[in-house]
Amino acid sequence: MLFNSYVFIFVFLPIVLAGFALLRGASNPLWPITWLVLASLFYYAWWRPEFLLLLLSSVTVNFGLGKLIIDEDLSRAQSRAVLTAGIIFNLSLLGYFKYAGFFVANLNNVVGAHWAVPNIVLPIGISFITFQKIAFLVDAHRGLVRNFTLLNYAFFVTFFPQLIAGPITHHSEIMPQIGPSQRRDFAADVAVGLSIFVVGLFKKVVIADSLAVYADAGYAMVKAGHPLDTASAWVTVLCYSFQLYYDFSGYSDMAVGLARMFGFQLPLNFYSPYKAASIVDFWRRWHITLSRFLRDYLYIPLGGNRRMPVRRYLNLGIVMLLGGLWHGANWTFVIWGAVHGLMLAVNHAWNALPLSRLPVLQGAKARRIAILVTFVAVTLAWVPFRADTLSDAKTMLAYLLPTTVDSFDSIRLFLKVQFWDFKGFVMVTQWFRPRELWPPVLPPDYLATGVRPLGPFLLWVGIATFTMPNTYQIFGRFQPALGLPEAAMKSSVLTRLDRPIAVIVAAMFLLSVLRLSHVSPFLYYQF
Amino acid sequence: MIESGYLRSLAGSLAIWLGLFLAVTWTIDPYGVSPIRIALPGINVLKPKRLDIDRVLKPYEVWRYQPRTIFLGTSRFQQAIDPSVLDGTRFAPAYNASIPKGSVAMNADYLRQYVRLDHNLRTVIVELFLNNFLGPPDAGAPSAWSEFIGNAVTLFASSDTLWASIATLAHNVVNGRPTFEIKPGGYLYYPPGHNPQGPFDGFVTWMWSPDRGEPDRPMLYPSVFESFREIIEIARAHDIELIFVATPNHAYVDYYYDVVGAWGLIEEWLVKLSRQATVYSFAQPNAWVYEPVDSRMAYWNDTFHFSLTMGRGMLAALARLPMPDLPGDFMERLTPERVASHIESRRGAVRLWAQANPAFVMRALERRKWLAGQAVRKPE
Repeated sequence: MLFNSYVFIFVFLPIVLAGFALLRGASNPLWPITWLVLASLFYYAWWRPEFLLLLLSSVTVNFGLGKLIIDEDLSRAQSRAVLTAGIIFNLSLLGYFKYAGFFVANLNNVVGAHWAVPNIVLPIGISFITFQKIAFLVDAHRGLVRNFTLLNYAFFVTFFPQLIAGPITHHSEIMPQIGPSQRRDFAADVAVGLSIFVVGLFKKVVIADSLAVYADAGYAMVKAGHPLDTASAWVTVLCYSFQLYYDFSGYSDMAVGLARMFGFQLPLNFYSPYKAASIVDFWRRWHITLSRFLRDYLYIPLGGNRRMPVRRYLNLGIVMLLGGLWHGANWTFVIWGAVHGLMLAVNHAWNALPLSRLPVLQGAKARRIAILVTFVAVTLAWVPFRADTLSDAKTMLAYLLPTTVDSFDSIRLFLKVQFWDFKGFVMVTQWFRPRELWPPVLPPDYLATGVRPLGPFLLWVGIATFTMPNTYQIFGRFQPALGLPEAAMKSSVLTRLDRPIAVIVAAMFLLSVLRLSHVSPFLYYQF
Repeated sequence: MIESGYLRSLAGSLAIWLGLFLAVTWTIDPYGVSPIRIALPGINVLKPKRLDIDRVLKPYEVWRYQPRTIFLGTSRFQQAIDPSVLDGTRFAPAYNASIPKGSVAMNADYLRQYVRLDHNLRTVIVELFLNNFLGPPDAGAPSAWSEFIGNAVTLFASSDTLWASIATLAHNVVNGRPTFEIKPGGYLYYPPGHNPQGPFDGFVTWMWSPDRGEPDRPMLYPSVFESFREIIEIARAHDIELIFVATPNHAYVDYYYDVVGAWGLIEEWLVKLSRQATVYSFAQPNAWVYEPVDSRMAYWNDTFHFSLTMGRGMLAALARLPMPDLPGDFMERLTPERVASHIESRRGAVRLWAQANPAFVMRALERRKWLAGQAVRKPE
């Protein structure tokens, strides 16, 4: 059950919200939390009920291990042994479900064997849940976890807004909110949460899904072995870059908004990452909760930046490689992680040079150039992340390089058709022209034609991304997320939620809901 | 900070936006499904977006119109069968539910769906297209209720509906010319001025193209006959009259069958079908079917697709309606016994046609030879 589905928006959420509203007035403060845990388990079981057993077993084992570490009078060595067992247990589950097939396939390649590659269905959210549980056990071992109950622990792990795709919450953020959440202003939380949810839904369904059409088309052509001109290749990778941002950050916004409806604040996960002026800065703004986990539970234990620079860069490389592999069991993700590890190391090395602190490199102009360079680097790094195989990634990267005069011609044609030849209403009617999919199969260079208003759309998305405030800057006054910079709260775009805002939010909601279903023209060859 | 009536304003605004959306999309009605049917010349009469969405649209319209007769088939039926010709006959009201590239398996699935959706259904007329039996069976059609409801929702309440409304309005206001669209009876409307010359000129190249596998060795796929049998059983179970129609083939196509030696295969095909069901053939060579190729043709839209005029003749013949200029042997009831003579007449006619069209024959033979050469060069 995705957040962007009819059943979630019109059935599940209203029922859970109504139940929560009723129960929060009950004499027993455990009831609303019990209700949310049950709703979360139902939500998890919706896709494949059999995985509920896995989730419950995992929660029970981790709860038991946590209790053992905290409540029993264990020596340091005993506590470490229990922690090690817990980490092995959690990583084994992740390893089996996510990496067994990848491991066997690669082993077959290396030793020339023919073992059957297991086709294991990945339980949703397992990557996120595993990190949460490991962080909890590590902190219990460090003495950072005090008292907790099975209900609180189950709530922390399974709370449905963050269960499937994060943000990766920390127990120290969620558990202290359990009691106070029921004493908050429910109507105000629903108003703020619903508004943030709608913004996230709009980002995901209207912007990201619209861009996905073009990104998917370009990558599908590469996969099918069709040539792609330079303009189309750039349009494809740019569309994917923006698609990924609006998709993932939109989903995170929805999670933050949903949690807020129930009186909880989730941690900040995205903060205008494409406005970053360096790769280091990018990772402080992109998937912030993952970066935080990797930093606290991998990078720092490896030695962090307390060692020699070379060791520090090696640590960064290891962290990013594993971070890449966490995204998926494919060498494409490993390469993506390695590229980012390398870029981070270069960035840190550059920062260590006195040259980097020259006044000329500190001005607004230099910052704008740095933002552009960072964005292009990140966008190019998304190519192996998106491609199905390393070979596809290589092909796409090759198409991006303008090697011949034709390459520049395709870019010129794209700009000409999409912008310079713009003839007002005549052009607009061309976008709306009938039989726009006739011939039904679009020509390979369709991205660079005037069939769709892709150029203006991409331009609008780019301008919005680089100049507009993000969701948390818009709603800063209402403390939408944990870990929000003080400045964002003070310079909040919205100072009140009133009728004009309601009109805009309602329009965004309707547009988003209307986008949930499509009339797909039937594409066929006339034969 | 948060206005006290914010949530109420949100709900109210949503209601107003929804009302506006419905007012716009139901008035402009881009897909022709609006409950309030208003025809506003210059605003919404032309419906260019009612195209290429047959799979979404037609199950809904079958449910909505509850026709007595349904046509099932491919784009050939879709382009030619205007069911309003049958008005006033025992077949009316009729609806053309043909789907471009509709396979026999898909037709079986659609029929299964339509007997549930249409309680008025008495007759089903199914197109027989040899090509559908010459390849492995395509996947069937989704016929679950969830699919039907989901499709109906997208026709009424999706951003595509809004986008298509703007497109429809823009086309009516700015362009104003008739364009391709699916008319209310379910058939594809060709705007005036269509030139079929191109597809005819490209026929030889297309027919003997390396992409088409082995065009010189057509082969019947037995599994497709199972879907054919399924259609018969569904109809029998619901007491529905079933008529199969072997559709016309232009001389270009009959020549292809002749040159690759497919007559035996066609005979086997027709004998098998006519043994199990009522089959009417419109493939007999006559002035309509073998219409000379020109930039303006009365009976053909392209090499494979016959025109509304041809379709009108077929419907008139089926419903025994008067149509003065109809060729004498336009319709023939096929029985297993009569298939051989049917084949013989087609073979004789196309050979005469070939003698009269040496330029075409030369092009076809050269192309065939070229493809054979390509196949020899292809590495094993």
